[in-house]
Amino acid sequence: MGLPTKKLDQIQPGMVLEADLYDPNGLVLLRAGTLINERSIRALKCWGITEAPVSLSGAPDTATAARHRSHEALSEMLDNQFALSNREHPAVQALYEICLERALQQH
Amino acid sequence: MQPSGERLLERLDELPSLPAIYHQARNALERPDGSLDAVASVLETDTALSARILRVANSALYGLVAKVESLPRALTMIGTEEVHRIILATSVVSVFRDIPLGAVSMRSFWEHSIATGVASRAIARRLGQTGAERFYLAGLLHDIGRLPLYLLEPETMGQALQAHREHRADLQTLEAQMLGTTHTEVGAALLTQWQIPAVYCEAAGRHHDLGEDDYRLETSATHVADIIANSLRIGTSGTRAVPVLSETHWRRTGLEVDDLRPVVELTLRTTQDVVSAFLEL
Repeated sequence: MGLPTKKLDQIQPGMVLEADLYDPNGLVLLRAGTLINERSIRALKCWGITEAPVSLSGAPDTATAARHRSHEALSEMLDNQFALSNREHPAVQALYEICLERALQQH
Repeated sequence: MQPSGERLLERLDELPSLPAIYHQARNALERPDGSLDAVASVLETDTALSARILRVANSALYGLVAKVESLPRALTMIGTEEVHRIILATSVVSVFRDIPLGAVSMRSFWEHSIATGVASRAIARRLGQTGAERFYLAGLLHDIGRLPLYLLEPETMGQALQAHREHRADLQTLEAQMLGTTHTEVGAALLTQWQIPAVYCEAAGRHHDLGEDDYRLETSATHVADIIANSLRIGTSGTRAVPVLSETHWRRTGLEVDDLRPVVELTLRTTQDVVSAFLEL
């Protein structure tokens, strides 16, 4: 394997899988980009996998990507909420921005 | 056959009316030789209402420096002008608080109403207006016309809400199509029937009007406040959508875009406390 790996006992929920992971039969067990949780750790144990290429989700690239995704989801929610309003009005636009800011903070 | 809208307006007396104690207190207040002590004695015959008024007087709505423990003292602190409004606000909310509304929760309805009132008051403060509590009451009562619609036409309103959610159509337009009247028309009629001062009837009746330009400031502040409360998603009177902002109302308030953030912040800081004061035990 080219990517640096971590031993199973160092893998924690919240880490992100850097490459596809296969079970001993050669079938994909977890896809690259999967956020590790308790259940995926149990799955690794079940299949007797002792190490995997994971990174901390705090790593800059992944975190930016996650922020980007949540930003998109929140904008979509607000677009729906403001669909019947007049977004071109500067005051409505300002309220939209304030709401987006609040939603991102709460996220 | 009469249009259904008119029939609905004729059925408003099927709804609970304001409690007798409200009218007694109002009479005591309007007597030339009346005193706040006399008003307090009238109110104190209704312990639930007096306790509620005391709670509202101590809420963030008035921001009194020290907690007030007695009703006469509270009435003196908030002042004669304000006493009628606090009795009216607490009576209206108390009358409708525990009635099941069906399609929308009554709590959520009042949360939206209170948030709109608080935002309207925040706008008045921002504009340096005196009597900011008048703006609160205008906001609190602005959607009151939805209550008769939900209570008297539950099935049609249920269908209207469903159409609103599925087709993203404006709820007020659906009310007009399906019921032949709107919550603004019904709200103004109900408040007029209750003999509430005209300023509140206008805010309830015209807060969605877009075109004309002779609005009272309370109506235009309520129009903007309703949009703020809907943006912040504090409760709902049925709609999930932010309404259209009328340029006429916006200009009438004299607000600048930069005023919105402080108004939003004050609304968020204050609303929860005022909601508890009006709705919780």
